[in-house]
Amino acid sequence: MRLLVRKELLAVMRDGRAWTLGVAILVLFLSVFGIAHLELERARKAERAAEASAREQWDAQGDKHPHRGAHFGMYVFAPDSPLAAFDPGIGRFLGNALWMEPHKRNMLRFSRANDAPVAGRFSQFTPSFVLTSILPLLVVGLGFGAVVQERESGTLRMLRGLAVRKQEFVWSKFMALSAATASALALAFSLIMIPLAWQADSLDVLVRGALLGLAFLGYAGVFVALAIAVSAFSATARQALLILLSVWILLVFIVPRGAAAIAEQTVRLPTPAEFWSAIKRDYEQGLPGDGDLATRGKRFDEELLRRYGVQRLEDLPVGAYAVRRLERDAYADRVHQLHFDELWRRFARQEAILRSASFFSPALAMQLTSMKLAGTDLQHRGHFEEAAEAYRRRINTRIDEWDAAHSRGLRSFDDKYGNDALWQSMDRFTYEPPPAGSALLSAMPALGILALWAAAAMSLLVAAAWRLRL
Amino acid sequence: MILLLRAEWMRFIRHRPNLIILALALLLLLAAAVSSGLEAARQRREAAEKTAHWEGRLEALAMKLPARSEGESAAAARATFDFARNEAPPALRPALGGLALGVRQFAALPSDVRVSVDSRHLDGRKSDVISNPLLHSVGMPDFSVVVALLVPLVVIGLGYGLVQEARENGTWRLVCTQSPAPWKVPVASCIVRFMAVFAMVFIASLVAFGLDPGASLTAFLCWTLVSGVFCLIWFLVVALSCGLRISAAASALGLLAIWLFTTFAVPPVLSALAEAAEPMPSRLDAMIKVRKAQLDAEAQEEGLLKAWYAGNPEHRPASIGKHAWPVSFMPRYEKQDSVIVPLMAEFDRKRARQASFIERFAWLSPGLAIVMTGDRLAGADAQRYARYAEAVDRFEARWCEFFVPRIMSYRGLSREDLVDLPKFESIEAESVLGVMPLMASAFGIALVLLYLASRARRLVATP
Repeated sequence: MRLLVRKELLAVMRDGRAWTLGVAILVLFLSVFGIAHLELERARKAERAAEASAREQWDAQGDKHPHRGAHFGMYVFAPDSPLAAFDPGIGRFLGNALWMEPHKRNMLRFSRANDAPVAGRFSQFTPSFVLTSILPLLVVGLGFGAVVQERESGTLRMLRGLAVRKQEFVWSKFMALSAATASALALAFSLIMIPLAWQADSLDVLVRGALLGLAFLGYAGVFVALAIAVSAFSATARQALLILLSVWILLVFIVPRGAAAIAEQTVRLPTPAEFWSAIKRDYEQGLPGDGDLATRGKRFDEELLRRYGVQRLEDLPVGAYAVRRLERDAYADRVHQLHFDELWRRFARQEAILRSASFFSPALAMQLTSMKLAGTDLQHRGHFEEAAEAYRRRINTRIDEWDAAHSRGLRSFDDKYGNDALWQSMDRFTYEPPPAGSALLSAMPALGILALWAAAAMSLLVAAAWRLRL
Repeated sequence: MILLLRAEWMRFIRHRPNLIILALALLLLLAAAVSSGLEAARQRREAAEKTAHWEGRLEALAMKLPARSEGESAAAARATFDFARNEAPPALRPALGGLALGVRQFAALPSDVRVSVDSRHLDGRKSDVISNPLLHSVGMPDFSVVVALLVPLVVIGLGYGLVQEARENGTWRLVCTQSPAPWKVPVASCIVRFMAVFAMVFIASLVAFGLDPGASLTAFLCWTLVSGVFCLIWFLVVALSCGLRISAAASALGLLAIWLFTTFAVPPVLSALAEAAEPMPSRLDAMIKVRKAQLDAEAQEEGLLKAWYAGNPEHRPASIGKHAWPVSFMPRYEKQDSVIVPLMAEFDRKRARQASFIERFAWLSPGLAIVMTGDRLAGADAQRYARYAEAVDRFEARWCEFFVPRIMSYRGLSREDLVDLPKFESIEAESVLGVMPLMASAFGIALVLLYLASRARRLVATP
């Protein structure tokens, strides 16, 4: 067996096609990664500069009513994962800037894809795309004739004459092609991890990179096994190539896109008008049992007067508008949370449909896994949005509490008693993305499906080895 | 040649894998056509409902307004401000007759903007689209995209190695000795296959357009022509590959490499070149400029208010001397919008210019070109979107012109004023002129390939 593997490895090494295709794909992968990495660095610098400028503007608003200062709002930016250069995932289709203002929760704006006229019409041309879509083609190109050409040329019969077992023969083919593919992948990942590890100040990036490398190794293994199995089953090399190319097209291009269309049709998202007007309606008319805005306001005012033992809002020892705002905004936050949670649930249901479809496409399972491990998937973005929302609420509550403490009764909105000291006292937004362990956990279902694919491909290979015809 | 065509047809239909490939491709194209056609119909229905809903709402709001102006009051100013901010008619971007071709691209950009008297661009709720970015990152299959991806693969699957295989099994030597013009054999094969593939695209397109009630014959004819040329271009590429003295397998892989390169590598390169030629301004810089405009306008609030009344003495209220929000904010909004609106319009203009740049070179990637043609026919192209955005800005200017004096004068809005309520004037009707350059370059590329294929006849004629 060892001799056979060595012979097959030697054959792969001496195969001009293997070197040409392997080097071509490696150069392509590294070029695409290099360009993406530089672009990401540029974007990061621009975001840091914009964040600093936006904060400077916030800090130096000057004298104004605290609530008007709060309405000027702040911007926070979703940090790009260091591995976004490898797999930008949903990043291009979602903006990075989030505007924070009182009363309302906003969505990320200014997606890069919307500014580019043809971006992503077919696919994003990224390092991850090269490995998910083009690497299997390379495997198909190298593997389609592995067994069938030996049969066509008569060498298979000769090997059997030398008492080589069918299983050993097929497995040696599989192991040689796997070793060649694994070497190319290991080289590619080592080369991209060097600059990333250099920049990263934690092990997290390396762990994620290593996990990604292993996942892609398994993914490539699925196609190697499929290629050798189909080659063993086929009567001619042409038939093997035709079948493998059809399988590649189906698994890599058709199933993922079909699944996206099904997910879109099955789980409808609200239109912007529906979404925002539902929030407005629930805020104004109230959630079941809460009463409408006027009733809630009246109830709150009565309670406020009772609490402070006064007859009129004007006589309150605290700022009435600020206290009212604290109450109303807490309610608005609750309403927003309900609707945003529902929207994210729908996103998750659409993702679940994609995940189910990945039972029919290892490429889709790999895409989902890659995004999760690279930190560019929905969960990572949801985690950021929740952190940003918590920050928005905290800042606005602090401003309103300050306002309540520094004003009395019904103080006019034209009074300018907020100043730079107040704006500057607001803490800066700091964000810690989920650790690699959490990403791995959320990638587990897709990884599990990938493992099933690997098992199925291996079973097919075993069956092909048993049923190998001379 | 007729005899040859008949023979090739028989050979084609008797080869079962050919029929399987065609049937599977037709099934996939039909699925995409049905999905796109139904989605187009749904979007048109939704747009009509939005207009009807607004008209109904306007009637209800009108009943709450006084029949005539009841004099100056802060409440009237506030109610009019609320009306002007929240109740504008939907400024809809109308789809064109080929919506089914690019229905998802059409939905990717705002097609229902609500104008306002405050700064609309600061509020994403008034225009931004809600969609799941995950589905976009996986790839949303518009009908034109499915055609662009699938047809070349079918053409390659049906046509690769037409001569190489014959060479490999020794029959080509026979053809060369028997026929004075051996090139006619692969040409006849390509013609037969072209007819089959084109018929498949035609049937699926017919279904997509048929399901969309707003589809137009002009768009359908343009699409039929362009998709026909698209099929022809790929068959010419396949025909050219017949002249190469390589194995059938190498020919298949080579053709796939061409498909991968032109479909996935050329578009980002063209995008990068377009970005270099027409650099997009930075969204982040714009954001900082917008905030500066807000701060400047806020700092000048009092001066702006005075200047406004000085410039519009006929709207100065007689009974109210001290002004508060929203009245005091109106000149501020006007001032900051004088910075924000041109800043935001620049993004749409640049995007349109980039698209025009890409269109000039789009046939370097036939897939991209057919998708851009689909976008044009659907009304989802960047150039049209820029015109729509300009129309929205013009409408918003008229909206403000109508409402701001009523707010600033504290007279408010009355029922009789509604007769003059500004309406959104939709952008221009359908025209095929937009797709002409793309169609012309398609024909150009097809002619060049045809010329090259005719020159390659000699290469095929050797055993």
